Amino acid sequence: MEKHVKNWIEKGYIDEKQAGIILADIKQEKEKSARLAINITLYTIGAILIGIGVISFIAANDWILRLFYSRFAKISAALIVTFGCFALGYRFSFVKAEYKRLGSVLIFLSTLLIGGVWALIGQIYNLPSESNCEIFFLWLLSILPVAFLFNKKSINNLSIMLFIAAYFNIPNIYDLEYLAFIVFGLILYNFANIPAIRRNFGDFTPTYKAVSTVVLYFTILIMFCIFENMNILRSLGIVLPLAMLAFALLNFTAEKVKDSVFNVETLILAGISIYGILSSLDISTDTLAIINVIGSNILLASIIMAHYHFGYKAQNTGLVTRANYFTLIYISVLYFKISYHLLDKALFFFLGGVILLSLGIYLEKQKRSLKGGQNNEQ
Amino acid sequence: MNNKTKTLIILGFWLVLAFIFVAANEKVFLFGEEIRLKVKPVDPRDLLRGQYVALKYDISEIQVKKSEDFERGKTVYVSLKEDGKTCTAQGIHKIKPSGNPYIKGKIDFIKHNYRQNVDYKTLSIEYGIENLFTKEKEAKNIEKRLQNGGIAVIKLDKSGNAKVLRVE
Repeated sequence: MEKHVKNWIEKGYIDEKQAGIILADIKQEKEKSARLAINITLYTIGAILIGIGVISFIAANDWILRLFYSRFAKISAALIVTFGCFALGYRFSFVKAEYKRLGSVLIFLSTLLIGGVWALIGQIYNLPSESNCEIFFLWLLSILPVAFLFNKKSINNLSIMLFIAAYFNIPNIYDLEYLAFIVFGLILYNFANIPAIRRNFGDFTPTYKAVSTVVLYFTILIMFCIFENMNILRSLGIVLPLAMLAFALLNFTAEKVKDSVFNVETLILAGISIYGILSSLDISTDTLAIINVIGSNILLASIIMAHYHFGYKAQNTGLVTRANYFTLIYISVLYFKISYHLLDKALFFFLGGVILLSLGIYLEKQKRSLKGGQNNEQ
Repeated sequence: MNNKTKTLIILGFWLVLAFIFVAANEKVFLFGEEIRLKVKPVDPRDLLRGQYVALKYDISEIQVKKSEDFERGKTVYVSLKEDGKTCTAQGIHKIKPSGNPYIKGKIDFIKHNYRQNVDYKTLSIEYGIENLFTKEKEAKNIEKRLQNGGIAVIKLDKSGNAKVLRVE
């Protein structure tokens, strides 16, 4: 900014006095945000430490809990602490506005503590460890209203982590093999595309989409490159991708303002769902292999192209960076898959290295030009 | 909707969830009948909830004829009969049996026996009473105590839901 101010003085847009005032304001603002950053960091680390402390305290069956003889007393005590923390968070956030950040951190802490309460109840009733999934889902269910009613991004991120933990702890989920990951990605992306969430929680949706895109991309890539014959438990398999297709189409029907991003997203989501349905059908392994090769390549290419297209269109470097990584990995996989048995090994590695380095340099240049464009606009 | 209403809604929601979660587990404690099952310990540790003793029961493995159609992951009901102080398995059913008390479980896996002269396979069943949470030291003591087997006191309700109370 200082450079810009000097430039403005040289061009005569502002005089020395005005420049001094602007620079003093900038300095003050910088100091203020540095102080705030330290406060937020301290609050957050403090809250996380307390949360971890409470959960390990419960996990270790510590002696204080023994003082509460009755199981109801234990549960009530844990609930009172959690409710108190949330109420204090509300007070500092909205009533005593001068401690807003502390309030936010206390609300975040209470969303950790409520998880501790569910774990405590699980422990008191000797729930089997298979019930960890129920506890994670219950925890997720408890914090979703906090994230959405108060529009808290940090709590929303916690909810995504809990969804991952709950989903992958569902008993026998891995019987679905690849489909477990595909359905996971589709649930998350379709959830982000629910019209009400798209409209009102624009801050939340990029995280949902980033997590699900990465999971979907790598699952399809692994299905394509490592296992040519898909082996999904068919009786269970077909219902879930069908439900995901219905979810995507329902969102599409319900959305009144359809932009090009939404249309392309729906198309890719429907494509992945259909890919899941086809791979779950009771057809010959040869046909499955063909579906796998064609379907996965079309989907991977669509994901990469959509990232580049919308990344450049919206000047979003994050999307372009992700697209670059996806492209490099895709090309590497294709190269290894096709050329490994065809070329002499020395030539294979030399040529592969040259291709990847050149591609890396080209993609980096493209990204820099996008960044340069952004800076000029600013 | 103002922030106070939002806060009250969230706290009310948490209270309702806690009530449902506790009530769902408490009903076995309140209305269940006490039975005793023979038990031997397995290894202890649970990343989420600290130390516990993993328990394996005599009724955790039940042999059935090879021709009987049981699937992994399906719910089964094991009818129990008193055998001295403890209960043992009398039969295994796909639907709720009448008469004797029964315990509800899920087939964890099936051990097939491929020897020609043998006409049985073994069902490994989980009843949701395989964990007993306790302090770390206590867990180790219980394990030592149960090295030669022991008895678990279980609360069992009329629908076959069970909760472990303690081990003796």
